[in-house]
Amino acid sequence: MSDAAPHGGTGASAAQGRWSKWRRVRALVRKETRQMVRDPSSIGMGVVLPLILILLFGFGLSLDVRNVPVAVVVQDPSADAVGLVSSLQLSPYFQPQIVHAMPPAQRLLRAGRVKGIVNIPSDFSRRLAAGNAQVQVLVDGSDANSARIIEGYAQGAVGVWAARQSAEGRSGGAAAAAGPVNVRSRVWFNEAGESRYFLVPGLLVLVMTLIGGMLTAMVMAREWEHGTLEALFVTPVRSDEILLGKTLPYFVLALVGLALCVLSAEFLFDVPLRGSLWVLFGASMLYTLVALGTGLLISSAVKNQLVASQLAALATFMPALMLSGFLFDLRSMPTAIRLITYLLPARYYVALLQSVFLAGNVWSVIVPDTLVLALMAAVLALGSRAVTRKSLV
Amino acid sequence: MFASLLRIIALTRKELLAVLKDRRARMSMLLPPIIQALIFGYAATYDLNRVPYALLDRDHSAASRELVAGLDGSGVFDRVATLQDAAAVATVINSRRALLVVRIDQDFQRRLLTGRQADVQVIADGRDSNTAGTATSYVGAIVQRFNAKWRADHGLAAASLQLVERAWYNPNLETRWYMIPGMIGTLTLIQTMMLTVMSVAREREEGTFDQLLVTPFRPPEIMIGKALPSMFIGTIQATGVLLVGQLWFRIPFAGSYFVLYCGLLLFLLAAVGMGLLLSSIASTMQQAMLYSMLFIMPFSLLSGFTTPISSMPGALQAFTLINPLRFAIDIARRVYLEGAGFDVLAPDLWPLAAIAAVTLTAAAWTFRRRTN
Amino acid sequence: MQRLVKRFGAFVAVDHVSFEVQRGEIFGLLGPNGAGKTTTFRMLCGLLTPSGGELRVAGADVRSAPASARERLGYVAQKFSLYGPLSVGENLDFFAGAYGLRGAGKRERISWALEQFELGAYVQAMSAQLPGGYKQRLAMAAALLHEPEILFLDEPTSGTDPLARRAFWHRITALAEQGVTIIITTHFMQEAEYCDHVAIMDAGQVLAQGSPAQIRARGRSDSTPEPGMEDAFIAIVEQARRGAGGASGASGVGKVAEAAA
Repeated sequence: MSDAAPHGGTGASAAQGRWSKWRRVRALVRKETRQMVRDPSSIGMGVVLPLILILLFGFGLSLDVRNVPVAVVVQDPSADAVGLVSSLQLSPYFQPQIVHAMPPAQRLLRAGRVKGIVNIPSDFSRRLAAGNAQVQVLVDGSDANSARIIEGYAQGAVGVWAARQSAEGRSGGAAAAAGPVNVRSRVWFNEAGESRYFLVPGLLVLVMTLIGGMLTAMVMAREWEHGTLEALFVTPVRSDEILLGKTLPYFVLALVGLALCVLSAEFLFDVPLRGSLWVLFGASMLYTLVALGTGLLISSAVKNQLVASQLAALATFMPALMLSGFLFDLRSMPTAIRLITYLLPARYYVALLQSVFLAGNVWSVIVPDTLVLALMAAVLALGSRAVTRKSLV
Repeated sequence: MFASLLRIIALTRKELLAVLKDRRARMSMLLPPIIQALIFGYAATYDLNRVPYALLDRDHSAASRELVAGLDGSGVFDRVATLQDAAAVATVINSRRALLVVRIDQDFQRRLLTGRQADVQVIADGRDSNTAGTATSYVGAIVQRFNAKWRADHGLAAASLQLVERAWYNPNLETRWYMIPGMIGTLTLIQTMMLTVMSVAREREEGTFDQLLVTPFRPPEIMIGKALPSMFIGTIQATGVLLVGQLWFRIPFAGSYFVLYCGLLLFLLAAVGMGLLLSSIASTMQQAMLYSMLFIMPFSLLSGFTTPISSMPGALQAFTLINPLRFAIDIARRVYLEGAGFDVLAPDLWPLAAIAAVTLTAAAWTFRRRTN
Repeated sequence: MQRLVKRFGAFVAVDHVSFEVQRGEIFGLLGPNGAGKTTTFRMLCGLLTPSGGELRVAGADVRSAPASARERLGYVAQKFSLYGPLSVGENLDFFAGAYGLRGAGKRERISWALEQFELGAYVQAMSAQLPGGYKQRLAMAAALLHEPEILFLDEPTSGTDPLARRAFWHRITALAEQGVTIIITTHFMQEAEYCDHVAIMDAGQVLAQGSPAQIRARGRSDSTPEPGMEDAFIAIVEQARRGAGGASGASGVGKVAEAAA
């Protein structure tokens, strides 16, 4: 076993041993890099895929709800009704279609052509003057997120109309529509409420997970399948040198991907980076290490490319997408699931990113999250080392 | 003709054997969709719970206490801090201890009693802007309730304009109802496409593809023999997710299984067609994984699964027209929640059929060329 | 009936190679690495399309009616290329089905294969885990299930011990006696002696064709009055390479052939 080979020892030979260790690792790294560069799929994963994701996230995804098609049923020809309708039309959130009876509106909703119906009844104006007018809002509940937002916007549009009415000194009835208590809200760190601001950190998580976790799992599983790892083991290279040599190029690739994402965030999407770049890179490096460790562990345990890729997708990518907190709020999940998320590195990384990008160096957030990631990285490094050694022996 | 059929059956059997024989492989085919459906069914929610907020009440009046009681009793908000001065606001938000700070000023009750409007200020942490926005609107709803009660208690006229809201198909607006049908398509797409592409790539990589080509198999037969097992497994996975939705989460199924499975079948044809097309480009399994991810990612993110299609820019909306997942999700949601039939679903079914036809033909063509 | 394999040229990998193989013959294709043997072989099996020339195998034009030609031939690759995760029995079952065997006929052929190649004990065993020699037997068995008229074997004995090699050649000669045409590539020169006809290739060209005795005769020279196959082979190849314009020239061409093959 090469592990038993003399390594270290005393004085000069110890220094000699350490020097040749680095030489071996360097040789491995060089070979791996060459292999990686020649294979289009690795570069594809590391560069092309992140670019695609960047474009998608930056331009395609938005949790903001805009231009929602709604049917507006107007059965009252009065000025009040017309005023309300125009308020809806002016709103950037709605794309109203005017109809004059409920059945056609319901047909549109059922066919999916509109996502909601605003029904202004025929006695609207009269009841408004009497002080008990009602406007009905019907939403398509199968899209629950949009539904709730539409309800909110509808309220907003109606409120705007009511406020304008009272500002213009119109009928006292409408004026009373404004409530005694009014909510004024301010949003810190993201005044425009741009969903892009928090989608971009999510993007980073996904990219790092892809390269660090999935690509590594595939590459190593392939080496296991082809037996090339065992061939290496017979040489004087020790098992952790093998691990180091194999993963270093992919680590660098991950950093390239990171750089791409950060650059596009800054210049393409105008997402501010209010914290320090060093913190960003440090956190990303840690997370990549954790992802790498996970990938290594999976591939050593499974040694089969097909299963490894599926497992990696299940264990690293999907959680990063869904359970890391950038898309769905973690606190609102049932307790069991919430406890699971405490085990996920992606959760800590996302929190770190959100702070670093939008808030600056908030040490009370950065330090604990970084420590957790460092701990996970250490555990996984040791773990994958042990599993690899066991599998090779 | 008959001989052709026999060969296809032989290949299909072999594929299913190879994939399902190993117990670990079996588990990795069948368990992940179910596990994911369970976890994400619970996790995927835009509804809020346990939102931590901090209160800065400068008024300490009966009115302010009543408003605060509304917040604390809502079941949505958890008060994590009661602040004494404005300086503490920054700390509690920056450290993420609270997502919102609700601030009531000294003249709150006084203004209300004199018939003027009183303000409540909400400061939200925009780092988590989606949640912050929703939380703020929850506060708005609680304030509205307070308003209505105040009016009633103090003899004021009720708001002359009321908004009455109702939701069709998902009366409680549970996000989960919206997500699970979407998952039927998404999880199935990922697994089916990857399986198809990788199974062909594996044969190429291991050299068994050559052995196959030396036999009387014709390229289209090989394609069918690879497509059928993937579709079969895909159907099983989709059924798994469906069952999780129905039996575990008890989301009522409003439509017809027949319609759902017809749509599913078309979807699987399209997915497998794309997979086969990709597989004729990939020569190693690693490439296979890369190419399939290159498609799966945009497809799953731009399908209306998590973010609505109507909010996407026009160009990307056009892109979703070639995304089979977009139609599958729409079909699944409509059939599951609305009980839609073939007539309503036609605009989703035709594109799926078209995608399937185009990709399968293209795959057959490139397969033939690649084998030479 | 004659199986005619006429000329076919495909860039520099296989440069206008022609030969004819008679039914029931054992025909050996010899040559150093990079000679173009494998490329030629793959064209014969229908795995590669020739860029030029004609190719008829078992009476069928491989280019225009590939599928029917493939029904009459069997192929054993150099590297084990059956399905590792499947058992011996499952592999045989699949390939039997692939060649259109079914029912009683299929069962009969499979049991023949198991018996003939002594694989009975391994029926349930996973193919990837078989010992090397047995893997090769399985591959041969699978290639013979449909009783092909021609059997293609690509370096079948590399990596086997002399005993196994002897057993293998027993089987081959028996098959040839039954009328199966065998086309085989190898770089064990002694095995060429078992063949009825031999062609020696280098750098994409056929350098010599004929019976083993004829080939040996070509190698006769002053220093080797009684040449063995190996001597003859070396002599022929060296001669050709010298003739092709000096050592560097020949090796240059050889490199191109290697790259193209």
